Formats: sequence, structure tokens, C-alpha cells
Amino acid sequence: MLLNIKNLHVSIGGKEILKGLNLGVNEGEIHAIMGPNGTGKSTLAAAITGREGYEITEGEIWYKGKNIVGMSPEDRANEGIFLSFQYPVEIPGVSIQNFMRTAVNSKREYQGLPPMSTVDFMKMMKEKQAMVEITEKLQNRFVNVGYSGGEKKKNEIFQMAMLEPSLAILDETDSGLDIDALRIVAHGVNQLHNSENAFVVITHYQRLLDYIVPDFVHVMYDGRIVKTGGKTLALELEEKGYEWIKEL
Amino acid sequence: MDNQLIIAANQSREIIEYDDDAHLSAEPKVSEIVLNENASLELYVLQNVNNEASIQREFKIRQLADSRLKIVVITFNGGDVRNSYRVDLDGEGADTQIYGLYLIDKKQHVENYLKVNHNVPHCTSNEKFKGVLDDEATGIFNGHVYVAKNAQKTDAHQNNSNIILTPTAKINSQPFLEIYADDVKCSHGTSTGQLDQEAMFYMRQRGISKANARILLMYAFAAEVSNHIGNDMLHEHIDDMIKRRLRGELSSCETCVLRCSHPKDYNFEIDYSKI
Repeated sequence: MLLNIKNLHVSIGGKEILKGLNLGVNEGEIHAIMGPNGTGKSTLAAAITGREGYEITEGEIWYKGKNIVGMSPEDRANEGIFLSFQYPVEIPGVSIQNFMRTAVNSKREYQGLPPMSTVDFMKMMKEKQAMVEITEKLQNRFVNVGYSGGEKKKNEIFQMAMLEPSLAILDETDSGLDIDALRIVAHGVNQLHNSENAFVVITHYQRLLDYIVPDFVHVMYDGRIVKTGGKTLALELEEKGYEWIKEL
Repeated sequence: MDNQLIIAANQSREIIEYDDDAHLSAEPKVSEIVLNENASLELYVLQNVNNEASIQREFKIRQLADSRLKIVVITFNGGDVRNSYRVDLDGEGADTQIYGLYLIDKKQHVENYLKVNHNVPHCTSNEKFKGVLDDEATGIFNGHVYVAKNAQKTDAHQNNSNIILTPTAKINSQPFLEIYADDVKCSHGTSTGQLDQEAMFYMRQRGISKANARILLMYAFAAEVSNHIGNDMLHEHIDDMIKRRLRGELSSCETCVLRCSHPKDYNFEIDYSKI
């Protein structure tokens, strides 16, 4: 199993947000995590990626056979965990090219490989930008500075394509996207998906799942996964809303 | 050692000053500079002395009509550094730009005092000072822009921003505008904060180590000053020094910027003919 989360309890500032969450993800699978606001979906993403301030009070996160609780965010990233941020961060003064080059070479260094040559890197940038239909020359623009909402999300998927993760978590990647941008983002994800990697798609709405078809749909409520089903569960949620799951 | 510099009308000059004096000298150095009509001066000052040494540097500048002045002062290291700048804009159409960067740690102390006098109409001035303070380093920024009653259409801006890396580092920042004219565009601002933690996590999530993420952010911050260096060769050299300073490598060669610990990295000659 690629990712196996057992009885995960996570607190922020002493307040318990995740209350015994279990989730298993195999290579090749796409999992959707749905649920009302404030049930801990983003906290789950933060806990898997090792964000500071999220205290794991109980439970384990097994990834590629290692319990990664306590591992630094950069080591987790270099082990192949990628988060597409709900709110991508603007970094004035750091060009996307410099940023990605540092990231790609950090991963290579972690794997014991030499840095990528400039020619190969530029070729890779161009190829991956085309995949998410980023036509404008991004190289000299600062990371996310002045990007529209759609551009920021496309840029996340572009970075994902550059880093080729084994486990990609998409945190509300669909929020703020018009239908065209949503199609482009989904197309990028579907091109990257293969039998060796897995996706965890956190979303509030069923809409994204028309384009990225999940193998499993989990419903979160109050810090736990309360229901798991196939893709039809998403349609059921769309139809009935979230009220009924509170009774589960 | 004091000096006087007079740039003749319609002439332009570029001056690079390295202050890497290893002596524990606290004697003030004063430069009196006059820019005549339509003269232009770019002055780059690099300060890199050891933690016990003091620098007192003073610039008294008078600008006549349509003259252009750009000063970039970069303080890499210094026990006790005090820079003061006084600019009198005495001719219409004169333009002044002063940029400062200080990267200090341990118990270093840096002060920057600015006084820009808009004495006549239609002049422009812009000052941007940025600092990264680590350990127990302390600093003072004191900026004062004066706009005389008749100095209409003045365009004057000043800003000081700082990154404080530890709870023990301190900066006292006081930008100040004194305006007597009523048809002017003036602004001032100051900000002091820590490294952006959201950006830190974002970079680390992409596999960039904590140390490298810090350097990238600090470099981006510092580059807003170094990007004003118009001389490409010097710009490249300074950027390299900034990166090494931020990596903590430069303090190992505190006494000198030229004969430093990695001489093979450099291929840089100062053109003394222009000084």
C-alpha cells in the first residue's frame, strides 16, 4: 500500500481536528475526499505533508513502508508527496524558473543524482507547461505573483508535472476555476495518472469528479471518514447534500 | 580621509567604493559632492569590515538642475556602521535615488540617516533601504524628507523594510516627511517582519530544504536593492556576495572583499580609471 493512515489524531493549538482517521491508498488509485467545510480535509493534507503547527497526538502515517510522522516537509516532498495548494503562495522576487530548478535539483540531490543540465531543464519546463496550456513565457515571472486564480491552479499542476510525485494531494484545486480552467487542470491530472502513482482529491463539489473519475469516494465529517463508496457516492452527495451524513 | 567631488555640467561618472579597511578606525569619512547642471553620478559603496571595526561614512550632496544621482550602499559586515546622507536638491528637474541594503548578524550595528531637501520645484527623490538582521544585530533607519514651501510638483518616496530573523535582533525605523508645499506626491513607509512562513512551507513542500528556502527568500528580498546596480559586472559580483553572505560563507573572510576564501570564484576587476 502506498499510503496507509491509521487512527490519525491531529490537533492545532490544542484543539483536536482529526479524531481517528483511517485511509488506505494503493498505487494507481484515485481517491476523492468530500465533506462539509471545517471537517478537517485540509488538516489531513497538512498532516500528510508535514506542516508545522499540526500536532499529531496519536496514530501513524505510513508511506512507501515508512512511518513519516516527524519527517521534514522537504524529505516527504522528495520521497514523492506533492500538495497542490488550495491557496498557492505568492513569492515576490523568486522566478518560477529559479524556483522549479531549485526544487527539481533538490529532489535529484536527495536521490543521489547530479543536477539537471540547463538544456534538459528548459526542455522539460516547456513540455510540462504545454501540458496545462500555459502558453505565456513563465520563466521570468515571480512565483504566483499577479497570477489569476486559474493561472495559480494551472501552475500547481505544472509544478506537479515537473516533480512527478508518487502521491499527489489536490486540495480544493477546483475552487475558483471556470469550466475551461477546470478541464485543463483535470486533463493535466489524467495525463499524469498512471499505475505507479495515486491521487487524493479533496473537493467540496462533485463537479471536478466528472473530469477526474475517482475509484473511491470518502466522506469526512467531524475529523473522521464516516462513509466510503464508489464514484456514485459523489452523485448521491450532490443530490442529497451533507446533512444526512451527520446522522451516520 | 575626506574628499570632494565635483561633476561638471553634462558629464556622467560611475564610482565604486570598497570599504574593506581592516583597521579599527572610527574616523569619519566625509564626501562632499556637487552635481552641476545635467550631470550624472552613480555611486556604489560596498562595506565589508570585521565585527570589531567601525565605519562612519557621510555624504553631503548638492544637485543642480536636471542632475541625476544614484547611490547604492551595501553593508555586508561591520561592527558599528553609521552612514549619513544629506542631499540638497537645488535645481529644478534634479533626481535622487538612494538604495541601501544591510545584512547583519551577531552583535553588529548599522545606522542609516537620510536627509533629502527638496528646496526647489519639480524634483524627484526615491529612497529604499532594506535589511536582514540575525542574532543580536541592531539597526537604525532614520529618513527625513523635507519639501520647501515653493517646491511644488515634488515627487518623493521613501521606504524601509526589514526581516528580523530572531527575537533578539532589533531595528528602529523612523521615516519622516516634512512638507510645506501643497501640490506634491510624497509617500513613506516602513515594515518589519519575519520570513514569510507560508512561503517557507510552500517551498519546503516542493522539496527545497529549509536552509535553501530561507536563502531564496532572503535573496529575493535583498535583490530589490541590488537590482538597482546599473553596472552588470558589479551587479553579478554583488549578487554572488549576497548569496554567500546569506549562506554564512562571507563572514569567514571578514577583513577583505577581494582576497576572500574562494578567490577562484571571482573574475572581477575594478576599473580604477573611472574613480
